[in-house]
Amino acid sequence: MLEKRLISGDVIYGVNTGFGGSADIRTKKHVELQRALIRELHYGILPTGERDHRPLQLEEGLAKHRHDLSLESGLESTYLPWSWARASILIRINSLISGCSAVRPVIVQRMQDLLKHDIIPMIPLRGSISSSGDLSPLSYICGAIQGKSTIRVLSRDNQHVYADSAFEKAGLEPLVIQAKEGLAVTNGTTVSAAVAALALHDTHSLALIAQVLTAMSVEALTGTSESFHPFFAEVRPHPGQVESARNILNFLSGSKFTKVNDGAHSSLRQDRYSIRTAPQWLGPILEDLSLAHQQVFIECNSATDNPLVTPEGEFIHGGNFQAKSVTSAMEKARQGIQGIGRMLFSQCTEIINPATNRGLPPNLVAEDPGISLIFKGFDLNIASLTAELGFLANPVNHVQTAEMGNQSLNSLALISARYTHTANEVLSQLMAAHLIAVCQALDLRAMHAQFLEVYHPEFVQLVHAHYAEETIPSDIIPKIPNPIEVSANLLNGLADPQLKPVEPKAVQTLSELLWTQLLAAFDTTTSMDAEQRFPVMAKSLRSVLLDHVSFNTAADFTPRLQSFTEALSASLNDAWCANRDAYLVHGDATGLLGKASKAMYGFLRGSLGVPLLATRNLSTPTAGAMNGESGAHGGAEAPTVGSYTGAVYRALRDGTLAKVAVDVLRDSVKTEV
Amino acid sequence: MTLKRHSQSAHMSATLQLLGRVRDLRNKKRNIVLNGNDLDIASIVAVARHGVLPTISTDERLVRRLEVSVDSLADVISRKCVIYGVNTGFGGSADTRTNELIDLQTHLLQFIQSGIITAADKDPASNSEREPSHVMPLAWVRAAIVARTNQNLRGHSAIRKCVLDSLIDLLHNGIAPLVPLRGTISASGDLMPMAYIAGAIMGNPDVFVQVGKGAQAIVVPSSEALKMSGLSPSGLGPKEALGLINGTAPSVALASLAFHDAQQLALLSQMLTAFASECLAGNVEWAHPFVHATRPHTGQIEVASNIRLFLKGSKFVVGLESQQASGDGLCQDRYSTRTAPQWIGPYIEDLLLAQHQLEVELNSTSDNPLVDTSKQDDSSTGKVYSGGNFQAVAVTSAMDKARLAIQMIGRMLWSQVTEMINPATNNGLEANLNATAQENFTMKGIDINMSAYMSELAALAHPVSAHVMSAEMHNQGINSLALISARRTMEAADLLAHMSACHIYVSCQGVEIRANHVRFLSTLCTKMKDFTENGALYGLGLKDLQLETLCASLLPIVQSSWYRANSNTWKDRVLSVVDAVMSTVNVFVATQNPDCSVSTIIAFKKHFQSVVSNTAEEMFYPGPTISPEEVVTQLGGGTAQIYTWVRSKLNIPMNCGLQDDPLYNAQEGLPTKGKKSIGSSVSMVYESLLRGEMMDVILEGWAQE
Repeated sequence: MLEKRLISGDVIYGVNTGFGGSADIRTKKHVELQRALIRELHYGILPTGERDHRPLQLEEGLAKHRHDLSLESGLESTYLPWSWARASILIRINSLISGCSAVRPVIVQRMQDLLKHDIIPMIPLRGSISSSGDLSPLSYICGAIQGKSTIRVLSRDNQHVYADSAFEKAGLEPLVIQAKEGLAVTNGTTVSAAVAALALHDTHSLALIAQVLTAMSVEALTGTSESFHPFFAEVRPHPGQVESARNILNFLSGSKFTKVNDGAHSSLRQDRYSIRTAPQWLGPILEDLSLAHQQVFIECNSATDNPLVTPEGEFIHGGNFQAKSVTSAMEKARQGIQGIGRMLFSQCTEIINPATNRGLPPNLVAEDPGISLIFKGFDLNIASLTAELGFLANPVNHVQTAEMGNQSLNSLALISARYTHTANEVLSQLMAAHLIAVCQALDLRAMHAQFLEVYHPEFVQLVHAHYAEETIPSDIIPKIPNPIEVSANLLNGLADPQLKPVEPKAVQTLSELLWTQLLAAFDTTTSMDAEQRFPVMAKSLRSVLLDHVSFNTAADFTPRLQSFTEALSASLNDAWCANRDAYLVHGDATGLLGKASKAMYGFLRGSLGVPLLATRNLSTPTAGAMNGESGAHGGAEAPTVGSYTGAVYRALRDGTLAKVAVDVLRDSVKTEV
Repeated sequence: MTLKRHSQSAHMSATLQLLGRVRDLRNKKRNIVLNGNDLDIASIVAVARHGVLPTISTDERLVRRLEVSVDSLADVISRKCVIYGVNTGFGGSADTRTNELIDLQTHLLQFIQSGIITAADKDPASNSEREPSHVMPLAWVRAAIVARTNQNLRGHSAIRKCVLDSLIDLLHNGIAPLVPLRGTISASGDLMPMAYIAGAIMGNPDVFVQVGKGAQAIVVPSSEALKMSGLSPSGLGPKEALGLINGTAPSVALASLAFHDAQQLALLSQMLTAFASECLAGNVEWAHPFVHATRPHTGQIEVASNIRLFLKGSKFVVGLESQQASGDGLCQDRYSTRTAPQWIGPYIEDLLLAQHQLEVELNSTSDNPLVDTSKQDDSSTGKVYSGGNFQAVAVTSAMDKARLAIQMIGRMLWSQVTEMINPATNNGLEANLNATAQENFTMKGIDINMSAYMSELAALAHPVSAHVMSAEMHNQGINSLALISARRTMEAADLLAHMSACHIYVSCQGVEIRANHVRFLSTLCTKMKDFTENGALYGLGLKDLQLETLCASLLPIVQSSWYRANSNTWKDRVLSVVDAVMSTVNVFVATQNPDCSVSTIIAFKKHFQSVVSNTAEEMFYPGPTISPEEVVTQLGGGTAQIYTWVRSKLNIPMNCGLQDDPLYNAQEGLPTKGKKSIGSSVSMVYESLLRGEMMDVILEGWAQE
């Protein structure tokens, strides 16, 4: 078809004309023209290869100013990773087989060979404006199918391999490109679409995980599921809001931590915005992501080069290489990522901060807050990550008038897609920290719940022992310093048939009152070390007792109050520490968690083996311990906090964590149906 | 979640429908009856900008719905439940409890009415320094009132109907509260703006309102204004103040106004792309449906088909019906026009999503807590839910998208205009579109303006949402900033209107100059084909048959050399053409008529030059140039409307540089009537564009297409 048109003297762009702003030139050397095109497009910067140009030996005066660039390598790669390059080849194949591009089948065949034999060209990261398509990046793919000796291909073991030798090894015939073929291969939005598709894939997962994390944060903050009641979406039916509220509500099902907030206590009547308005916050982002998905999907299944050939053989000149759909999708995604990050940041800081975390210890420490700061680092880390996301949210709207004024509009889609990947990475880091923090918070809640459950009978007995009339043999009072003994004695005492029967009701009422007060005292003393905390808590019960008419009139009230306080303080300290120590070894919050938390918590603690973070399993061995002295603190294996975050981050990036989240979602949807 | 897929001309029909509805409302062909479910963007525009007065539906069920919600709340209160904002403190201070339910509402307004309004804002006449205003334009306030009334009418807010009536009474009595421009984060809704509106219906003596408009407008305390209008102040019951101010209405109302402008400008930009293609004598093969069928983005397909529609019948472009497969010059148009469908397409997809987000929001309940009036299991009449429907991210999202779309459209118009003015890229038009015979820099000022507008617009495109602070004791850790985003989008739309006005002004001049050149070249062609002594090729002693051959080879040379010599005035083109022609003539004569003497050739050159020169004198300024009526017949169906509007309705003529300057004419003792600065002319286009009737008239015809 093409040949016929050329013989009849038609002017077809890029076939017998120059390119772009130089298309006023005419030529008859059709094959040479294509080779020239591909050659001029190999302009990107790559790591030094053995066939690269070597500068001459510098004269000494200059050479002494040269600094060692190898010290700075690794800061950022200069070429597309395997996955981006492979996806690009795949999409280019899909676009070319639409049959509108006038290329021979062998071109497509050779591209498939690249994938089959894993001959993936090293493609420069920078230099495309994605308007006449991603010309330069695609020229490296075109160079690869030609088996060019100058095109380097990726190597798993960092060898310097070039397309010619790779072809030889694989037994592939290098191609000679014909008229228009160079243009057809290079002129398209493929690389942008490929990188965008991969980015969007990740963003979708992260948007789902954000809803899971929100559900977990609601539990960690003992929030209410009321905020996700379908009524809200019914009266404000934004589709994204409807969906995220439904998901989060589902994720929370089965949780023992969510509360019905009736405002009975003098607390905030409603949860803070970071969890309460999550559906309204995430909803529009989900709507944007759906539209972005549609845009990228269409792009992956489009002919994006120019000119195009109709089935009737007509050549039509247009601008399908202008990748604005991809830019538009990527800007939406990146802004969405920032919005998600900003919300999680608020949630996470509110979980770490004792002023807002509803009774969790400051910095989520498992031990004494005076000597442990574990999550303060997280607090700093997430602020830094959120700030970077804010910067990344800006649109790539710095379009220059390019190429002799011909490409005065250019989409910059690849740049936008690259930064969307960066934003995904930053958000993943933020989420990794959040997931560890929220699991820690859930464990601390579970540890606390377990403690209360175990301790409650002991507490009741302690109250009975001190305040049931004449039930306590006076001689045991001095023995109080050993709490375990106390409780043993108390048990014995209660069993003693010689004792007068108590008035169960009065003491029971009092004990309930005191228990409530004790619970409140737990919430207000989270920032104290155990040594200081439990005496303060014990003392805080005095006001209740002083107000209690039936007891404060007793003659021996003052000594009894004193002994109760001391006994309580000691028993609390001992029981609490014993409970904590046991929990740090055997603790498991699973039974108290909602559907999504259960899965995530299980994944983190079980599959990834990230433990509850306590000083004792984090501190590095002291010099003493290394010298084999006994009693020194710290284990031989003491990873940094960051190494745990790193493990979670990688699970977020490699798809395993997303799989857990998707299973939860699938299960939720099933339950609903 | 499913999103609507768009039909082929979804954006154009949405825009035309929007404009059509505004027009019908203005012409009283339709009324605005609020019922909580059917408020559209057009109604917001009609109330805000065109003085259309809405009413509240008298439907019994609606009235009943409101009563039930108030009763339900009373029921819950009587059961001594703790309800946020009814018997608690607010926000991060909701850990307090109170029994003073009425005072609590007044107190809420008291601490929220904390914005800045200056003395000059209260007395516009004293603002002779023209300091920028600190209060919202009154159109925004009217828009907020109608949006809030509709949202509260849905019966989930426990607000009595009489309170909502009093909001609408403000509109009917020409009362508009002065509302501070800044101070809302649109998270717990737009508390501050609504607090001033609520203060006005309560008759707060320190809440000021403007009554009336134009020269009769006065600013008085709201208490006084209510008295003057015979309205009684509304006392607010439990939750009513909170129900009024806790919501997204001011954001979604302003967003609706900005969106109305953005939609029109997005459609206009497609018409302007067609216009630019005509000025540049483009090859618009790029709009061919095949190109877009191979990459079926809905927005792209629509833009391409719209542009073809607007170009229909145009004699300025090629490639619309047939293809141009030969010839010289750039084989394809530059990207600023050629890739317009791919450039604008994704953004009209975004705009359609934004429209959906705003329409849902206008008919949503956006306060908190909410009363569910349906019967509960325990047979009580109502349940109160605490949630976060005031979080206006749906509006922020719509506005951030719209603003980025506006910016990208602006970037395209910038390229088109600068390419039309630049002789290196305008395909043969004079530099700066100078139509006269002497040096004039005509459009150079506009060229610079365009860059100024574009730079400001690009800076505005950055999302507001990346700058959320943790507000109000960390209770509002996240907040939407929707109103700030809407304000920025309003500014962006205004800048795009500036740029569109410039584009229109430049394009009108461009097509006129283009048409004049085409007319000239065709006349010259006739004269070259005339082989008598009047003909341009007379005097070489050639036979008719030889002349025919010569003429055929010279015509393309004349055309290309005429266009190529475009760096100065039309007058300077004559010599270039003569030189280009003579080299071919010399060769031709040398072979066909070797006996021809040098003096004959010299005489011929003189003759040829005088024919070209005389022909040009007769057709270019200051001679009579082509008439606008004739230009119209050559334009596409869409662009002809713009051109006609500017030349015939606004009476803005072609600009002839210094000769059109009012001062120059005054100094020369010439009449100055009708002489305007370029800025004044462009201002007329600008004023007519969004606030005048230009778009209405231009788009009228397309509603039927």
